[in-house]
Amino acid sequence: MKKWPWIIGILVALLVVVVTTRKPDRQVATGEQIVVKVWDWGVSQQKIYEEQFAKFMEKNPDLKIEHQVIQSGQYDNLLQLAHKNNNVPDIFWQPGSLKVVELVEMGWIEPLTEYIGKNKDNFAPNSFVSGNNVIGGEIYTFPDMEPRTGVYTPLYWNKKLFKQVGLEGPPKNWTELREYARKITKAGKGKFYGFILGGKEDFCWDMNITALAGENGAPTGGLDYQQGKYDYNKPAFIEAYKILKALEQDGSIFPGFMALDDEQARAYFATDRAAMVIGGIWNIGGWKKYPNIEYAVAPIPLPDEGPRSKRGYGGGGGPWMMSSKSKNKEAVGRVIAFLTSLEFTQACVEGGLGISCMPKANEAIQDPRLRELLEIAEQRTIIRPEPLLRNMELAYVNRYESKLPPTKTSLVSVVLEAWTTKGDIVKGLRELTVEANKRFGEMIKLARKDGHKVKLEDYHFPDFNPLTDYQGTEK
Amino acid sequence: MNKQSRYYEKITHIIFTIICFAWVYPFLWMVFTSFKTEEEMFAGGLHLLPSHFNFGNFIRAWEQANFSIYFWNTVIVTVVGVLITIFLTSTSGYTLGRYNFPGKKFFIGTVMVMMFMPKGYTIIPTFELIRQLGLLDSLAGVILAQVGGVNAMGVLLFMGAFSQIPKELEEVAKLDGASYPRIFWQIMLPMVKPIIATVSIFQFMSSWNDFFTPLVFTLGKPNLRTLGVGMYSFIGEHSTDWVGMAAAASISLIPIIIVYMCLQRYFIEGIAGAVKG
Amino acid sequence: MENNKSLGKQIWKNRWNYLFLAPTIILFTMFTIYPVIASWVISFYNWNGMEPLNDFVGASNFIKVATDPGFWKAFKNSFIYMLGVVPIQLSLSLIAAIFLNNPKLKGSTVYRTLLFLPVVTTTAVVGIIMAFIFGTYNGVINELLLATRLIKQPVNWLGSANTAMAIIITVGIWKTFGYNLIYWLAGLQSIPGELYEAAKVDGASSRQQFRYITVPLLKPIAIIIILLAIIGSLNVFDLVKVMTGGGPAYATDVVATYIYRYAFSTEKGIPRLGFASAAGVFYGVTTMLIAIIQGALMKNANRERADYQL
Repeated sequence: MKKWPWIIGILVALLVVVVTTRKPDRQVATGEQIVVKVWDWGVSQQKIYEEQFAKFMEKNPDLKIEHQVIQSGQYDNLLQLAHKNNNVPDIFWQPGSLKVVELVEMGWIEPLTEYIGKNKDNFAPNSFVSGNNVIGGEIYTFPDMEPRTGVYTPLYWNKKLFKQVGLEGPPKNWTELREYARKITKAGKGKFYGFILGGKEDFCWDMNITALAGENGAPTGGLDYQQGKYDYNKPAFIEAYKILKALEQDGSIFPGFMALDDEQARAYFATDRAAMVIGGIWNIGGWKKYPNIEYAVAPIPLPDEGPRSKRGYGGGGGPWMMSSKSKNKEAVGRVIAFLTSLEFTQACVEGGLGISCMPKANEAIQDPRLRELLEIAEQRTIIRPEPLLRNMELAYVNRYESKLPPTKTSLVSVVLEAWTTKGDIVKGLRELTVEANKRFGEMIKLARKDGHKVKLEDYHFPDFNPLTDYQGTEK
Repeated sequence: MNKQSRYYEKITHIIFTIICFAWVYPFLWMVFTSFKTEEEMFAGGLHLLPSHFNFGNFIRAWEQANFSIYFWNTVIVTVVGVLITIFLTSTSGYTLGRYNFPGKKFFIGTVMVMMFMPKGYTIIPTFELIRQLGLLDSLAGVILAQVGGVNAMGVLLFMGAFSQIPKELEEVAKLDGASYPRIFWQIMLPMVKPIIATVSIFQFMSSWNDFFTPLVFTLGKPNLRTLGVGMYSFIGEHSTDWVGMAAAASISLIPIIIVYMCLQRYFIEGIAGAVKG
Repeated sequence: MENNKSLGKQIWKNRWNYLFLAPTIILFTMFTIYPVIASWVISFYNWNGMEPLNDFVGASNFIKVATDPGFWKAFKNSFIYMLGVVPIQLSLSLIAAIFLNNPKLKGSTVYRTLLFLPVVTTTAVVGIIMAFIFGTYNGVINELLLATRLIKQPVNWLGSANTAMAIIITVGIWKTFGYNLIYWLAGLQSIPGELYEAAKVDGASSRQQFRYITVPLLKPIAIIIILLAIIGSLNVFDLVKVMTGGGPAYATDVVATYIYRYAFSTEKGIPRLGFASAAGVFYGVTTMLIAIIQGALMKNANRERADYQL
C-alpha cells in the first residue's frame, strides 16, 4: 500500500490543473431567469449556435438558453425518456422516426405560427408545405436548409489534378467522365486516381447511384409518381451501375475504395489522391480543414443523350420544434422568433453552415462554391408531386414498414450483390421492384386496417413530367 | 547466471521488443496524430512524427470535450464505481468459491446464463429503475446504472482465485477465533491481490470510457456528464474531427495508463509473496 | 450427514455466506436480470421504442429471425470470428504471460504495459490506422509484400469478401490480447510459488513444471478465461463497425452489427426494437446451448480418456 500516496499525489495534481483551467461558472443566475432548454444533434452547428444564443441572451437578460448537443444514434429514444421524466426540452430538433403529423397527434409539439409571425416572410415560399410541416393551417416546424441544395449532390473536381493532366473543366457527360477519369489515372501512375467513393458505407453507394441515375429518368428513392408505384427497372439505374462499374474496370477508381467511408474518401480527394467525388453540401464545410485544397463544384455529368429527368424535391421540412409542455410559452416563443429571424440565419450562413432557406440571408454566402452549388441545384431540380398535399393521412403509411418482416433487399444491397459477386444487376433490380411494390401494398393495407383513409392511387400523378416543376392542381 | 540462460534471455528481449513495437505503433500513431492537422494526418498515412508539434488540437479538445467540467465527475464516478465493484465481486466470489450452501449452484448458473443473454437494446428498464429510486440526474444514478449489473466476469474471477487458496490458512485463523468477515478481510482478500488489480483496471476502464449511461442519466443536468460523453462531441453526422478526437483520447487515456502502471505490480506478487510473508 | 439437517438449519449455518451474497443478488436482480427479462418481453412485440408497448405479435419476431438468411450469415460470421480469435489469442497470450511472469526477466513491467496499450487505443482511431496499414493504396502490408515479390498486385484486404474477415480476426487478436494477458498473469499469480521451488528441488524440468503444476492449478481460472474470451468474441461489435461496417456486401456482418442495424441506426428506417431483441435473445440462447452441449461433450471425452488411461 506504499504507493497510494503517489497515486493520490498524481490525482491531486491533475485536479489542480483541472480546477485552475475551469471556466468561470456560467450559471450565475440572477434570481428570476427563465430557463429555455434547447436540444439538437448538430455538432458542426454547435459553435455558431452558442455564439448566437449568447448574443440573444444579452438582449434578453430574463432568459437563459441551456443548449445541449445530443450526438447519439439514440436521440429519439432520449427525447422519449425526457418526456417520461417530464424533463422535455422546450425547443428540439424533430426526432427522425416520427412525422410531424404523428408528433401533433401525440401532443408533443406546439403550433408556431403565432411565434414566427412576420418572420415567415423571411423564408422562401417552398419552406412551408401543408401536410409536411403545416398541419391544419398551423406551422409546426420550419426548415433551416435550402431544400434543393439538400437534395442535389454535385460532382466535386480537384482543380490541381485536372490542370496537371491538361484538362480545363469538369466532365459534362458520361463519356467525358470515363475518359477524364482514365486520363487522370494514367497520368497519376499510382499516385492519384480519377474517381473515388466511400464504398464501405451504404448511404454513399445510394448517393452515387441516385446522383448518376437521377437525371437519366430514374425517380429518387425508386417511387415513380408518373406510374404511382416503385420502378427500379428503369434503364437509368442499370446505366448508372454500369458507368460506375466501367470506371472500376478502367482502374479509374481509387484502389481499396470498398474499405473507405465517405469521410476517408473525401480526405483522399482533399489531399490530391483522387480527382472527382460525388457528395453532399457538407463536403464543402468538411474541406475547410484543408488549406491546400483547390476544387470546384460541377453538375453531375449527364448521359450522352442529355437529361431525361431532374432531381425532384419537396420543400417544407424541419427540424426546429417547440414542446407543447413548455411552461413559459411566451419566453420560448421569443427564442423561436429569434431562430426564424434573418439575423440568426445570416449568422449561420456567414459561419459557413451552408445555404439557408432565406434568400436574403444567402446574400451573405462567402464561399463561391456554395454559390455555384446553389445555382446548379436551381437548374437541375424540380418540384416533385407531393402526395401529402392530396392526403395528409399518407404521413402514417411509413410507420407500417416496421410492422412488415425486415428486408435486406434495397437498391444498395442489389448493387453491392452484383458488384462483389458478379450477380445479375438487371435481375436483381427486377426482383427489387416486385418486392418494393409488394411491401408498399402491404403497408397501405395495414394502414387502412387501422382506419387511415389511404390508397395506392394517392401516389399516382399521371400528369407529372420529370423535367418540369409539378404544378398539378387537385380536383 | 549461466551462459545459456543469458542467451535465452537476450532472444526473449529481442522478440518482445519487435512484437511490442508492432503492438504499440497504432497507439503512438494516435498520440502523434494529436499534433497534426487533419490534412497532414490523411496525407501522411502511417507517418508517425508531425512536421511540427502544434498544440491547437489539445486546446480545442480540452474545450470541446469539456474536460475541466467533466474530469472531476469522471473521477468520482470511476473511483466509486471501482470500489463498489470490488466490494460486490469479492464478497460474492468469496462465498461462491469457498463454501457450499443451498442455492449456490442455482446462483452461479443464473450468472452464467445472464452472461450469454443480451442486456437489452433499450435503456428504458434501467432508466425506470433509477427513476423510481429518485436518482435521475445525479452521479449516484450514473454509478448505480454502471455497476449495478454486477460485473459477472469479476465474480467468476474471484470465485476461481478464492477456490485455489489452501484450506489450512483459514482453519488456523478459525482456531484463533477469527470471525467470518475478519477471515475474509484480513486473510483471504490480501491473497487475491492480482484479481483485485485485474477487476479494478477493467472496471476503471469501462466506467472511465462509458458514453451512453452518463449521457442518459444526466440529460437534465449536462454539467454532471463524464469524459466519455465529451469524446463524442468530435463525431458529427458528416464530419468527424479526427485530430481533435485523437488529442482528447490521448489526454483522457493518461489516467488509465497511470492506474494500470500502479496496479500492475500486483500481477507479479500474488499468493507467493503473501504465503511467505 | 449434512443431508439430514433441515434446509432452515443449513441456511442458518451459512448465514454469513448469504449475507455476503445478498448485495450482489439484490443489485444483480435489479440491474441485470430485470433488463434481460424486459428484453425477452419486448421480443414478443412490434415496437419502435417510441410508442407504448401494445402491439403483441407472439413468436413472429423469432420466426422472422430464424428464417432470415441474413441473420444466419451473420451468425456464421460471428462463429468464424470467435474460432479465429480465441484459440490463437489465448495460446499466444498464455505464452507471453508465462514469460512475463518470470520475476527475473528485466523490463517485464515495460513489456506488460506496452502489450496492454492496444486495449486502450480508441477503436474509432484503430479503424483509420488499419485502413492505412491494410489499405490498397500505399498500404504497409501491400508495400512489404510487393517489395518481397510475394504478390504482384496490391491486395484489396479489407475490400474483398475473401480477406476482410481474416484481417478483422488479426486485428481482433491484437486489440484484445492485453485483456487475456492480464487474466493469465492474474491466474499464474494465484499459483503458490513454493510448488515450483519444491519441484525444482525434485529436479523437475521447466516443461514438467508446466505440465504437472501450472496446467492443473490454472485449470479452474482457465475455464473462466476461455468462457470470457468466447463470449466476448461472439459479441464483437466496435471493431467490425469501424473496420468494414459489416461489408463488403455483408461479407463480414456479425450478429452484433446485424442487430445494431435494426435496433438503432436509421439506415433501415424506423428502429425495430422488438425484432432486434428477438434476434438477441435467439442468439444468446443458441450460443448458450452450443456452449452447454460442447461442455458436456468435453466432459464425456475427458471421462472416456480417463477410463482408457486406467
